[in-house]
Amino acid sequence: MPDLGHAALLTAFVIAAYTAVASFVSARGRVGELWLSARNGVYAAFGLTTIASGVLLYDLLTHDFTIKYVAEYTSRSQSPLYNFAAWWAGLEGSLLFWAWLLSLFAVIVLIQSRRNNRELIPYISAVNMALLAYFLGMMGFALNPFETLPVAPADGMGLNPLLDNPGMLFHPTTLYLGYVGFTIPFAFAIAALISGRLGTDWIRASRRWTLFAWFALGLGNLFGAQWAYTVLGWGGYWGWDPVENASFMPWLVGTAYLHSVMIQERRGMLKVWNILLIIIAFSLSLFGTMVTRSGILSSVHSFSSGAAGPLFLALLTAVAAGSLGLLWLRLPALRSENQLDSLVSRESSFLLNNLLLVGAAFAIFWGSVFPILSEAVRGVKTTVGPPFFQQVTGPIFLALLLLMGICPLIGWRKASPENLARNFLFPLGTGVATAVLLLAFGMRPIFAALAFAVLAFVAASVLLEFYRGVRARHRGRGESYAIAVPRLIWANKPRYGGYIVHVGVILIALGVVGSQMFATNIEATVKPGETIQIRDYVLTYQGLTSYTEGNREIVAATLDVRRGGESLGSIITSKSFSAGREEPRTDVSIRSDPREDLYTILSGWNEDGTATFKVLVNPLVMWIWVGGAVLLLGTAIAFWPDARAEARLPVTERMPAKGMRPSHA
Amino acid sequence: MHREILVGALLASFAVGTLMVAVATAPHKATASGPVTVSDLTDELMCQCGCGMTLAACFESMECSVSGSMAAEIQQQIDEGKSKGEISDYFVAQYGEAVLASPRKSGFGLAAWIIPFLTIAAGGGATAWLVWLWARRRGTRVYETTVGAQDAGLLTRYEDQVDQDLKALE
Repeated sequence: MPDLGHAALLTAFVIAAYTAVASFVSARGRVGELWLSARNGVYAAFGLTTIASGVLLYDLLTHDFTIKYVAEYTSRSQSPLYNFAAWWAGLEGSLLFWAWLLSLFAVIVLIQSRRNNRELIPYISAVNMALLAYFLGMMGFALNPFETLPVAPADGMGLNPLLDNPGMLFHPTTLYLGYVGFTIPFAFAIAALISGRLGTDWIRASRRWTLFAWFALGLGNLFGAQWAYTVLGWGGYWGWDPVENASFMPWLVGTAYLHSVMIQERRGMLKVWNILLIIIAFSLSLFGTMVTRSGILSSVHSFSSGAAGPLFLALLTAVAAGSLGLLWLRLPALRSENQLDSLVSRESSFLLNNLLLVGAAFAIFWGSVFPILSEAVRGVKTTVGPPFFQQVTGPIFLALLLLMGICPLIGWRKASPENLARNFLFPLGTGVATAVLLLAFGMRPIFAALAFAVLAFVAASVLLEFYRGVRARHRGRGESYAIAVPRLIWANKPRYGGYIVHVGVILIALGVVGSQMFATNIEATVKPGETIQIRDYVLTYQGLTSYTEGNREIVAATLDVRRGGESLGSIITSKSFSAGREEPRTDVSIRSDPREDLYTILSGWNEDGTATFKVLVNPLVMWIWVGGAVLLLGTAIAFWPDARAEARLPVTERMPAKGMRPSHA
Repeated sequence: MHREILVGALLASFAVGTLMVAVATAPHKATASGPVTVSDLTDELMCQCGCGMTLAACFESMECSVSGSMAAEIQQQIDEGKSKGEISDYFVAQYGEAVLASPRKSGFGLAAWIIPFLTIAAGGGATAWLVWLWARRRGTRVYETTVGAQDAGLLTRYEDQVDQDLKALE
């Protein structure tokens, strides 16, 4: 079986490389037959990559420990679900997962382009297949997932106990969907550059792919945060680890892109900037994969291999240099009549939004590479950890949130002073009132009150947008308010889906501010019957029990919880020891409600019956997960096909016609 | 008029940049007036077990003997009456600068803190300049193409109509 898998990989590599060249040549020389052959090549590359993946999965599930990868990441006692998840748990397997997703996306784009994008699709396929060939080549010649061992062990090592969690099924997969997803809009951009079709067609055609990649990356980060919060057991959800940062950066740049393309679609402006953004987003996706795989930056997520680092660096350099070179060559054709009707307009606020989003991504990138820079310049190793990222990105994100509230209040093209005053009155009043009330009730630090006030301002701004739309429908069409809300959203899905995404972001920010600013913790060693008090919670330690569950030895502590005199029942927090692993896994107890989380960790125990607990009260954390769900809803709405969008033309294409009606000719 | 607004925008971006630098270079946590505690330092020092986490995070999430002994070292330093800065210096002398969870806000380390804000401030200045340039370009175009008051009126009416159409589309 391993030979079959490796042969499929090598054949797929040859076919993908051929398809990349054939697609390109067929488009340049307009050779129809060659394109037909290249089309089949895309399907064949997908089929062969699927066979290679199928073989690896079969080996993972049937414990073929002659294969090194299978022996490293699966074991007989590990559940089949986690043996399946071992596909993306290690370096070689995750490269195969990357390649399989890319081959699948290449086929989907090809099918979607049967009727549209005929000029672009050969170039898009050429880019997809060239990237696929590189990944297949890496596996075929250097990082073979089917490498065999001289002697097969009786059992495999299995996953690290920390990975033995449902998060392993969702977090890496969604992140990969995002990383690989950004390949498609990147391929569209490169196709537009090569073909010279530099209008908005490629943006419209790739819009849903961008949204998909952006959403998957965001969801992957949220799943990762949830996993860290429930399993790593330090009471936090974001550790500013290099790998977390690497997945956050393309998301930020993708967010900037999703906003700035609106200006190109409406005004024909920022053509160069938009292509640059998608090149950066994709390059950062590759950088993210490189950071995870190469071990170039110290991280809890890294699994380093000597060959992976240089191979990824070569790919990243080729992608960045090649695409920027192409952009440079096309600059004369990308000149647009950039002009603004007013200094204060939605366009200028979007430019500021782009500046801050890209600035935040740069700040994180700078912090991530600064240790390498410091070592190169001074020969001294330094660390750039959570305190740096919290302090540097905190003010940038606050400014971004503020801008998120301001943007919808400023009209496209130009905003008159009267218009601005009318639009800002309610949101600004809400924000100021919130700040005054919070400060009057003694909220400190002031930064927290300021952050909540900004969130109130943004929420009021979004609410106002919905209210105006609903009121217009109520007055114009006589719809009741209850009916008008869903109809309003459905009538303009990208717009209101986007606002719902903003609501999700507000909720996530609410949870982050609450938990970062007002978390309390206490560490105590207690005997059975003794209590730990934190805020208005009283925890009474009942005692320890130990038992075996599967291949794990578990030591669990039970505590009774009361809040304000009212009993909330019992909680259990434990540590589990896997056979063959020295490090235990901490299973924290989280009692969550909309106000706060009671987070209890069993830190250790002694022979005299005492146990040590760390107890945290993390306010508003639940809203981070609720915000994630709202984000999901908003993106799904924005993603939904919109028939009207097809009929819309950018403002620049409108001509004055009879009766001054916009022409759709 | 536009020149004043441009100057204002540049000053605003400078002010925002300065504010951001001030916030970022301020001490991470308000220094409590009370005695130094172990947890004051565990968030600001990196565990040396190779996990890549802060001492606080590693101590809680892993059964790590290194983080435990480092926490004990902090306690010992506190018992000797040392200040937070002196304890940090002690750990730097023991393990090198990489033990600090963030670069020092002096010397080369200061570059880590201020470069992001300087870049954003420079980008803000460039954005303000572009917005001004593009807004001025439109103004120039109007004057160049306008041959009479009648045409200017037509243009204004057309623009108003486009605004209305845009509003209707939204």
